[in-house]
Amino acid sequence: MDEGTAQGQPVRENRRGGDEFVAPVPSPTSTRSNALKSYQFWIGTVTRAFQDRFYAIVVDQTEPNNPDEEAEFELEEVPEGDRPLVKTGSTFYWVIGMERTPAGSQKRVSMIQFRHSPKMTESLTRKAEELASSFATIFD
Amino acid sequence: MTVTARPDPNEIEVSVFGPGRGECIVIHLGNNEWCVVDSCIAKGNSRPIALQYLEGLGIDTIDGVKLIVATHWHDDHIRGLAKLLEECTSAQFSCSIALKSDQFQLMVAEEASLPLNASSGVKEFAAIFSLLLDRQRANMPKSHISPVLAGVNRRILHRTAPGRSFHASIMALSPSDGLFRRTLVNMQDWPSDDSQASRDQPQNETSVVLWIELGNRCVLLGADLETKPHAGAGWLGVVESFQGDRRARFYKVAHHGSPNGDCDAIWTKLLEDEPFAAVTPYNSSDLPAPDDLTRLKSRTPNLYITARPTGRLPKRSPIVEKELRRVNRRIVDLKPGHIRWRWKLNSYSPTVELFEGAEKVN
Repeated sequence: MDEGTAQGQPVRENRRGGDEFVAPVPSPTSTRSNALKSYQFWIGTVTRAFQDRFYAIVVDQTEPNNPDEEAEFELEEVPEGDRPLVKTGSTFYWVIGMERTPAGSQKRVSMIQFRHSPKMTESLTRKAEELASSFATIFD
Repeated sequence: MTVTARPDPNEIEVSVFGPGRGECIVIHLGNNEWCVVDSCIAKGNSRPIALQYLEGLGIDTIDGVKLIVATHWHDDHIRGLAKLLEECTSAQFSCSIALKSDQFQLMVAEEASLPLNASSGVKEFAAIFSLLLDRQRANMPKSHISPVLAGVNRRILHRTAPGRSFHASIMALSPSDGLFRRTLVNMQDWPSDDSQASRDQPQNETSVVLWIELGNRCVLLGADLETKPHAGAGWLGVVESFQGDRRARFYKVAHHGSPNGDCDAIWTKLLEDEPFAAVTPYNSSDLPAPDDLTRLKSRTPNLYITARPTGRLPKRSPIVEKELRRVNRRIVDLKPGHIRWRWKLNSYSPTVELFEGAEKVN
């Protein structure tokens, strides 16, 4: 984790340079209100994406000894704002849990939330270039 | 024989591990010296499978492992490689010459600076390069720092010291110079915020295919190299530039048995008749398909596979199970199967041992 990033807190920095850093989404149990109780949590990586669906390897975070699975999802399960992120290699959280409605009843929910790619700031780019120069020396 | 039975110093071994979504090859070079090609980690375990196996044999991995090769940076070939290198402090590290490029180093440095969204393959390389940099800062010998660059017909290991019962030599057969140059051009086109998919694209092309000579027998490790239509590229390029006059008796089938990793020339120009061949599946791409196994079986009767996708989906709480009913799922990661070929210097056929679900393809 680098400058200006706090766990679960979207941070914007370096406004003068026009760069913007968006931290990773918060942990899935807190993405909605505290009314969501998580029963099962995976981290997924998209392996194939089509117009209306995608496939992903999902790794069980609730019971890490469970084998990795491949799952097929409808694109409409993904929040509209996240749909452009659905492409091979992108990662997401998948939570199944119970959510308390404002009326007080409970309903089962399946929630997918994609990680937003951070943008490199000027300072991070400089830092990466310096590190890449150091890496080059191990090949000399 | 049990899996923990150690080979004699003059006994050659090739062990192929594959959990269904990864692979690792462990080779006994003779005289208690070992080489590890690629890496995978068994589910629920934090240690690379090669370390677990060698420790089970009672091998001193600090001194015994002499070479660790990364054939390419695909996730399924590289999990745990940094840990392996960290613990096997006598080992030299070898990777494709294509990874010496400034563009690749910048991609790895970006991942090290902003560790969020890269594939685990790039993360692993970030850890490897950082480890080598630490060794440089600690003034360790250059042989423990600089990667041995693998490219067409480059020898990456040679052992002929007196007292050895047989010579051991490892030669890279790829990537070719033409491919190397083309990959550099492709890498320059990578935008910094590109998706992993296009960065993954050139990886198989720059896979390191290895030709290993152990006494009077040769081993061909096909990595994920594919066949390509252009001259000098892919498997046809490897066959055209091959300078050896021997053929391999053992073959780690290229690209998980995929049709695009296979061509007649591999079998007619590089391999002995009816070689011993091992396939490692890649379940999330359905490799090998039943047709692939039929095709490979027609090439050799001595075909083995490390794992079959037979795992059962785990049971979860009723609330979760109800929601999961509408999602198509299948297991892709299994317990790593293990094919072990061992042979004495002058024996024609190896002893074949199959562990943890590995089987002969009939």
